[in-house]
Amino acid sequence: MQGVIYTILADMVIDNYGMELWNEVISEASLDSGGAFTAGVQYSDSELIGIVNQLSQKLSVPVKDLIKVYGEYLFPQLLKQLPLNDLDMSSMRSFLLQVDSVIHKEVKRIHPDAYLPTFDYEQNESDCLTMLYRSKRKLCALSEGLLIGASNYFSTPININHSKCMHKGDDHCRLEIHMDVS
Amino acid sequence: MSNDAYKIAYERERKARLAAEKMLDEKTREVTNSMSLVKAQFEELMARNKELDLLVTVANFTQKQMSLTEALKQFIEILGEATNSPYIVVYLLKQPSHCLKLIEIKWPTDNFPGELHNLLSSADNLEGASLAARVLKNKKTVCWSASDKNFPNRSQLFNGALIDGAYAFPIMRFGEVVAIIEVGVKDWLTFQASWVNQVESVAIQLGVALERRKAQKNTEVKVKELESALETLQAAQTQLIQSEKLASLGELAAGVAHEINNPISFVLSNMETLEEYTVVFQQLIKHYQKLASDPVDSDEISRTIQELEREEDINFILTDIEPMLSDAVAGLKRVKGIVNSLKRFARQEESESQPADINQCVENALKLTNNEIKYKANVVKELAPVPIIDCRPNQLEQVFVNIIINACQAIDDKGTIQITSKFENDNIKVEIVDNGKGIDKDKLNSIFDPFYTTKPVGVGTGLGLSISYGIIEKHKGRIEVESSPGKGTKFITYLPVE
Ligand code: HEM
Ligand SMILES: Nc1ncnc2c1ncn2[C@@H]1O[C@H](COP(=O)(O)OP(=O)(O)O)[C@@H](O)[C@H]1O
Ligand SMILES: [Mg+2]
Repeated sequence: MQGVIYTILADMVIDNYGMELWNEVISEASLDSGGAFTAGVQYSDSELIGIVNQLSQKLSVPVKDLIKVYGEYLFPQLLKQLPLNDLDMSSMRSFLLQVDSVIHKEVKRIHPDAYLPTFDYEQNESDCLTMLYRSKRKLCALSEGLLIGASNYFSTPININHSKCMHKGDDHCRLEIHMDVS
Repeated sequence: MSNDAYKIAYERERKARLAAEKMLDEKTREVTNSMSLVKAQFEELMARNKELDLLVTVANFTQKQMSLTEALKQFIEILGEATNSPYIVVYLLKQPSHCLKLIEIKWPTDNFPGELHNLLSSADNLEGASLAARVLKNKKTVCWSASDKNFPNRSQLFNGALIDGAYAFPIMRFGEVVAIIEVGVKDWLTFQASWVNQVESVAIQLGVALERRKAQKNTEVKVKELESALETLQAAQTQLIQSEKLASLGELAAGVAHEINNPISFVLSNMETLEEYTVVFQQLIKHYQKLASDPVDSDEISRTIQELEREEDINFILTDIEPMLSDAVAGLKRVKGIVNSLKRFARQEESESQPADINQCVENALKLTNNEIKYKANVVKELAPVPIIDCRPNQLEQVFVNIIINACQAIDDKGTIQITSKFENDNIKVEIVDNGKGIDKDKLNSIFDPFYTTKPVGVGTGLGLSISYGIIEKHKGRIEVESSPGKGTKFITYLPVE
């Protein structure tokens, strides 16, 4: 995982729960990096898992929910990194359609060693967009959180139906996103 | 320090870190962008390079006389690398049956899928609604996509699994398809459309090369024909040289006969006289023998001897006999010389060139024509020493004989023939000048033409100068003529010294 994912996570934890907790989590997770994360550097996925597991224990919040919250926090931070001029930001739907083929593609271009999930899209009704998530990391919860973050950003209330999930043995996660565009 | 102070410091540091990260991110983006640019340019260059390789194949095809099959093999080898195609196949149009034949398959592994092979080489594929058949019909590049319903067999086979589509390019010669190259496309998404144009333009080049090759073949046939015509001509020319030689010989024969007659007749008369002298010697010897064996009658015998000696003028005989014999020897030597030079002249040309002295050729020519000249002209000879050169002396002799005879025949009454040789500017220059009737300006161009003659039948063949010209040309020399009508003519031959 990219260093930004960690630095932003650190920011979130420090801002919301204080420096002490973060220090504890870092020392108890006994990370190879020692918790000194830098954006632009690639870190082993196990570090994220270690941190999240520690946090989940300390805060008594299920890992899934924690990741979701983190996704919501992460979204506006990630967006800051993007040169938005090149993107179609006119609606949440048009934005989401660019995640796979434009945004993540650009991430991959700049950091060729990054691993990124793939999204396939299904569009049937005008107020619904289905994203089919595939990744070895099975971080569908992060997707959900990011979607909520996007919903906040575009002021478009959403309702996600997670009908298929890789954690339930499906080969992809099906995220049916109902948008309230009124 | 209080906790708050740490917190403030931390916030400050975090801001600084975020700013640094942003800067880093921007820089990374910049570097990536220029890297992408460089990569794009590099790929562009590589593509050009491949195109160049393809063109080189075409060039080799023409220059190295590669066969079409060989050239196509190389061609698709490079094409395969350049396009990363899953497969390439080549069809050749067989004549006269006018059917396509699969001649080459390029497939990344050893086992080309049987179904694909069957499909590509099936009769239906070649004549019916196949890609190649369509190229053959339209004489244009055909693009097929797996979703294309026009080729049901294919679509069924591939179903998008192996390949996404294919391109088939014609190679044309004089407006007709002679070969077709079919290139598979693995994935339309990663497919680079630019190579289609490249391959098309190279295919056109290959066609042009084929046309040139065909033209060249035609020319080669023409050249062969011309070569054999030239051979016939050369044989005829050798024949001509020989007949002209024989004609000159005829010309010379009368003179030569005279030339031989003269010494022969005085040798003959000398021999007759010697025969008479022999009789005298025989008688005298008998008397001397008697004198030696018979001392009794010696006085009388001595008297008879004296009488006989006075009667036959033995003193004269004794002084006459010596020069008479040497004259006879000289006369016979001359005859021998004339016969030898005639023999040499009449002989067919020597096969090999040999080192020779041009002055000697001139001397020989003069010897041969001596009788011709004798009553017509004074010969003024100025032969400066010249280098020995590799030549065919017999032929050069023929040239000089002809020019000298022409000079004699141009003199009406009595004139002069001046012959000079010298070594000048790396050339041996031989000038033969007469003060005969000369040649009109408008005829000067014709005299070297074969069969051009102003002489009556039986005297001139009109071949002498034409053949002489050819001989000098073969010696890499040249022959020039200057003439003023009524005053005389000058022939100059130049023979280069290596
Ligand atoms: C709602 C929109 C988005 C969704 C649903 C989404 C989803 C995800 C998910 C699930 C991951 C985790 C990796 C995995 O699953 O294998 C991920 C990683 C990532 N995403 Fe997004 N993403 C979104 C928008 C963005 C945006 C706006 C950016 C801006 C740059 C971005 C940048 C990245 C980066 C840098 C990673 C880390 C890759 C690595 O190093 O592993 N994403 N995204
Ligand atoms: N020395 C010369 N003076 C004048 N005319 C000449 C001389 N040499 C050649 N010609 C002209 O060139 C013609 C061609 O000469 P040639 O080829 O030797 O053939 P031929 O002697 O059999 O006629 C002659 O017929 C004559 O008209
Ligand atoms: Mg002549």
